Amino acid sequence: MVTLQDIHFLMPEIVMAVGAVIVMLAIAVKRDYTLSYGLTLATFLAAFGILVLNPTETRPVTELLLADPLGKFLSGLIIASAFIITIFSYPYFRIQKEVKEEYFILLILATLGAVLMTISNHFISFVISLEILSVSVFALIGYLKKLEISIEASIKYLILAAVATGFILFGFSLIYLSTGSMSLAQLTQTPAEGSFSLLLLTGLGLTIVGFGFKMALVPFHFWTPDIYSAAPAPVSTFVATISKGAAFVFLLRLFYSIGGLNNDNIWVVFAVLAIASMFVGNWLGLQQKNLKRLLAYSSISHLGYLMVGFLAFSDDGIRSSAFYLTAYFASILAAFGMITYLTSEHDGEPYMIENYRGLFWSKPWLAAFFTLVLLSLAGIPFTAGFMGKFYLLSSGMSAGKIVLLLSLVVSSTIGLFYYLKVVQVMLTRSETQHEFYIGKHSILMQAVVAVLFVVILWMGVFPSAFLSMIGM
Amino acid sequence: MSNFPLEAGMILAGLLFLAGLYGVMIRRNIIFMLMSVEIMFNAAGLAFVLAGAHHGQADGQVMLIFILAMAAAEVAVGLALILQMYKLNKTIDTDAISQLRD
Repeated sequence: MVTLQDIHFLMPEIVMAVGAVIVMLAIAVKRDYTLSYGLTLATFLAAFGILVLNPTETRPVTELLLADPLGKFLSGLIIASAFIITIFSYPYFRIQKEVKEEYFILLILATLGAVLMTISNHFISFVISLEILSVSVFALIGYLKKLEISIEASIKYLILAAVATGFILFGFSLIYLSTGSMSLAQLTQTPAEGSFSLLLLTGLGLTIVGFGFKMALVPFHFWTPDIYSAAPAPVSTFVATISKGAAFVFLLRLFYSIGGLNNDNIWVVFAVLAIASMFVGNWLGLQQKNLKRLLAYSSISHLGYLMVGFLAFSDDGIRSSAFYLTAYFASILAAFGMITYLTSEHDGEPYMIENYRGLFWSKPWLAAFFTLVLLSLAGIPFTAGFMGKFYLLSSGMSAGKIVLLLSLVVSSTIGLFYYLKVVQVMLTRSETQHEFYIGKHSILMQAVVAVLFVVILWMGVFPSAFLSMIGM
Repeated sequence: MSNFPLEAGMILAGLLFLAGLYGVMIRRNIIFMLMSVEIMFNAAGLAFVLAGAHHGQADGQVMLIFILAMAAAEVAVGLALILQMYKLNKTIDTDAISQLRD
């Protein structure tokens, strides 16, 4: 039965669903880009406000969903990121020669899917939210439909995401066959510790493959650089942050509730995926000249780091993962936001690292901001990324996973090189310097950049204040 | 529903899944790739129905309905993209669309 309280809990999702319909109707009445933009911002603001005002509690909401602090925190993070992505999208799509109002409907729906995924507690609700998310993302990636690479990227993503969904579904069916339940709440009690039947192991293995695709863990990462470089920059941001974060949360819920990490085989599989992602991501990142591809490899390695928190298999691990996800979201949002910020009608998206040569001398503030973001991605002290890694290390340390910790430290050192390479390019003065003809950006856009700047610093300098704020 | 051949059904589902996966990997025609993905989904659906019957629950069948619905949604978007690809490239061969390489 759905009670009034449950409806209360679901209000943010309801607001977003209604918001998508309102934007659609508004387009039917009057096609106005700024109007759809405003309505979308209002939708996200309302959803975020209601979410914050809702009490934090732990209880099942119907059989399908779950109210808990982790879900609430991540829903908030996702809606806030979607709000920021909306602001970045506005100037980016304004200059495109395309019917562009519908973009915001897709953005709201994709966010709705991601938020539902973070509160899912059942295979059915997960599968539905996954599809709401992915089908919207297919359309978002191919949104600039007159560009061949955009369609190519979209089709590639569609096929790979569908195969991944197939793996997840088949894995779920085997889990269901061996446990007799699709609800995570009931999976908790089912298998005795560490003694998994072959059927259940196969099911979990197939699920891991599917999630590996969704989260772009090595060796399932091949799509990432292609999609990131071909999709519009705000959409790449979305795929890099929101869709990965949401998939990670469900993976965490599934394996924590079934106790999958008690099984040595599964633990080793995840550890191998994590270590491979760290090294391969950072190694391939070294050779990139395209900034969007570089960020793609960076995100692969970051998901590898995140798995350290997951593998700690403790409440501490959940907390540090949540902190790390926030730091990662803020840094990646800011990095892609930088590309969006410098996109202009005159010369399109500045996606090559070379485009940034001498940025320090032409636009010192932006360059300083970008440097901070890159340092945060690299994990230099006094940035969010550093504290995130620190918490991951400490949660891994208490779980005694030395190999993982060593790989994290060594691979971050490799990663440091390519982030610093970008900084060095920005510092080099040269004759062939790229001139940016960016128009005047709105106050909102500048405010968002400033907020991200403050968040990255704040999380790096006063992490405990941040941790107590998220109440975890 | 006490004695039905669960093993045989699951083996069929597994074979269908592998056939679909094989199809996605070796086919170059994008329509066939989509069809192969559908086969993978339906294999999972079959496995869900069998598992549901084995446990005497309706959940497996509910899941099948959702799988069918989401497969339809996915194909709708997929076909729209394929049409657009055909407009731009005059082909639906995946080898023809390989600009994204580094």
